[in-house]
Amino acid sequence: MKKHKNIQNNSILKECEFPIIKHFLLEKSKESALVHMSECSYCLEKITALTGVLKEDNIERLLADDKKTALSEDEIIKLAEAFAENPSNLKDLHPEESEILFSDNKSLELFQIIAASLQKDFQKSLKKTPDYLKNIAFERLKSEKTSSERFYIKIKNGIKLIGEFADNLFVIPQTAEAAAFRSALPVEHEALPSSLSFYTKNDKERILYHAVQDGPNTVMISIKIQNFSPGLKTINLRKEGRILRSHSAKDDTAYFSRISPGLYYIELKDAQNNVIKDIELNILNS
Amino acid sequence: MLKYKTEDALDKEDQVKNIIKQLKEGNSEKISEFFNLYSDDIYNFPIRFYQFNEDEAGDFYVYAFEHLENGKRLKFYSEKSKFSTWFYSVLRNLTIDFLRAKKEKVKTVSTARLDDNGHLQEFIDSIPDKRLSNEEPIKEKLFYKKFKEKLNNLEISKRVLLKLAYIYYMDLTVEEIKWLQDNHGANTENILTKLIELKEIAHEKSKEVVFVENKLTENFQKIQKLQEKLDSFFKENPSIKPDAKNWSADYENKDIPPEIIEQIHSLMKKKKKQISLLEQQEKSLSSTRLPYKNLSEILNTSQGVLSVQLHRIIEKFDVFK
Repeated sequence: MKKHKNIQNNSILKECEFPIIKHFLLEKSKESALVHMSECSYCLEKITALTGVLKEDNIERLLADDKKTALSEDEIIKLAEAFAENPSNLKDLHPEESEILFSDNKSLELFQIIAASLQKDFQKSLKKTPDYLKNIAFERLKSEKTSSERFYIKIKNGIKLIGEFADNLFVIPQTAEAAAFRSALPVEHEALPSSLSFYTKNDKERILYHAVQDGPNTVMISIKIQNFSPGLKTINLRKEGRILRSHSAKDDTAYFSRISPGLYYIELKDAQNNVIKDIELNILNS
Repeated sequence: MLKYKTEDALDKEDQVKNIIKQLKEGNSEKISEFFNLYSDDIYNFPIRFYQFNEDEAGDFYVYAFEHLENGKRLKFYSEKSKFSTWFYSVLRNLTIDFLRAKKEKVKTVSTARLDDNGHLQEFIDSIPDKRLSNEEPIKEKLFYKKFKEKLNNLEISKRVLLKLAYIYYMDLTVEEIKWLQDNHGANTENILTKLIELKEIAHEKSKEVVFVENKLTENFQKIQKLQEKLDSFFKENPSIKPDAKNWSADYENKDIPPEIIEQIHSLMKKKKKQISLLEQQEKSLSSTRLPYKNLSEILNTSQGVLSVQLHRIIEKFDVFK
C-alpha cells in the first residue's frame, strides 16, 4: 500500500486497491466489504464520496444553465394539477403543452415535483421542522428591531454558524492555531467543532468574530473591529433592551464570555452615544 | 394510481388563501401564521427533492425565511392555481438561488491569531482559496466528471436500469422516458405516475440512511482526531514504540503514559462502534436501491434477469478507478 491523498479532504491515507464499490453494492460480497471498510479509511471514504457524487448529480442538473423551462411555471403547475386529477387529463385536455413537457427536462423536473407534492400522503410524510429553526423565525418576527447584520450560532453537538450564505459574510476555515481555547466541553464531544471564526465586510470596514463554546451551554464571542471611523467608543452587548456588558473600543476588540442561548444585540457606539452599527446575535441550543 | 389530497390539505389551502388575502390588504402580522402553516414544507422541500441533509436543510430554511419574511413574494400569488403548488415552484426557485449563493461566494483562506484565553489578537487577511479555482479542480469535481462520463457512456438500457434502481439520487431525462415508452409498452402518463410512486418508495427507504450517515460521519471525525493525536504523540516520542497491532479496548502498556493509553482505548471503542454503524449503513444503503419487484413492474422484465443485469453494470461502474 502506498500513501495517497484522502478523497474527502487533503489528509494522508493509505491507498487501497480493494474493489470496494463493487463489493459494497453487490449482495453476495457486502459482508467482506463491511469488514474491509472497518479497517480501511480509504475505502470507507470512497463509499461516502460515492453518495456525495450521486447527490451532486441532482444539484448539477438543477443548476445546469440559466435556460428557463420551455413551459411557463403557471403552465407546468396547470398540467401537474390536471395530472393529479387524472393522469389521462394530461394529453386529453392539454395536448400541445404536454408535448412540450415531454421534450424539456427542466419542465419535466418541476412537473414531477409538483405532482409529487399533490399526493395524498405527502403532507403526512413531512418531517417536523426542528424547534430551533422555528424559534429563529418566530423570534425574528416578534422582534421590532431591524439589524443590518444577523447571525445564528447553534451550540448543540458542536458549534455551527447557521445560514452562512449572506453576501458579506465569510467563514474562516479552522486551523491548528484556532485550537488554543479554553473549553469546558465533556470529553466525548472533543472531536466536534468547538469554535468558529467568521467576518463581515462592508467596503473597508470589517468585523471579525470568533465564537468558542466555553461551557456545555454557553459561548464566548470575541470581536475585532477593523478600519472603522476613529470615533468608535464602546461595544455593548444587549438583551431585551438592557445593556448586559459594555467594553471600551480603544483596542478595537471586545470579549463577551458565558453567553447563554437567546437573542442578543451587539451595538457599536460613537462618543456621542450614537449607534454606528447594530448586530443581531442568536445563540441557539437545540 | 396516485391518491390525491385529503380534507386536511384542503383546510390548509383555505387557511393560506385567507392569510395571503390579509397580507395583500396590509396585515403584515399574518406572516407568522403563514410560517406556522408552511414551515414543514419549507424545511422538507430540499430534503425531499434534492437530498439535502438536515444541516443543509436548516440553512435553507433560514435562507427561505429571510427571503419570505416581508411577505412581498407571497403577494404575487394570483390564485390561478392551488397555493401549495404555486409555493412549491417558489421553493424550487429559492433552492436554485440558495445553491448559487453558496457556490458563487468567494471562498477564502485566512487565519485568526488568538491568545491563550482564546481572545482575538490579530486577523491575518484572507486570500482566495486556490483549490477551488478552475485550473485546479478539487477531487470531488473530478469524481463527479468521471461519474457523468461513465453514466453517459452507458447504453441507454443499462443507464435507465441503473438510474431507476437509484432513482432516489438520479432522475430520468426526457430521452430516457421516451426510450421506456418505446421499449416497454407503457404510455408516458403511466410512466410518470410510476416514477412518482417509485421516488416516494425510495424516499421512505432513504430516511434511515440519513440518520446512520450522520452518526457515521461524527464517529469517523472522532476516530480521525484521536488517530492524529496518537500519531503526533508517537512522533514526538520516538523512543516509545506504538505497538499498534496489539491495541484493543483494554490494552495495557507500562511504557506508554496513562492518558495516551486512555486515548488508545477510546480509539478502539470508536472503531468497534464504526463497525456496528457500518452494518446499519449497509442495510440502509442497500435499501435506497429500489426493490427488484418495483423495477420489474416498470421494465416488464423478470426480477432475476434485472438482478443479474444490475450486478454486471455495477461491476464495471467504479468511478474511483
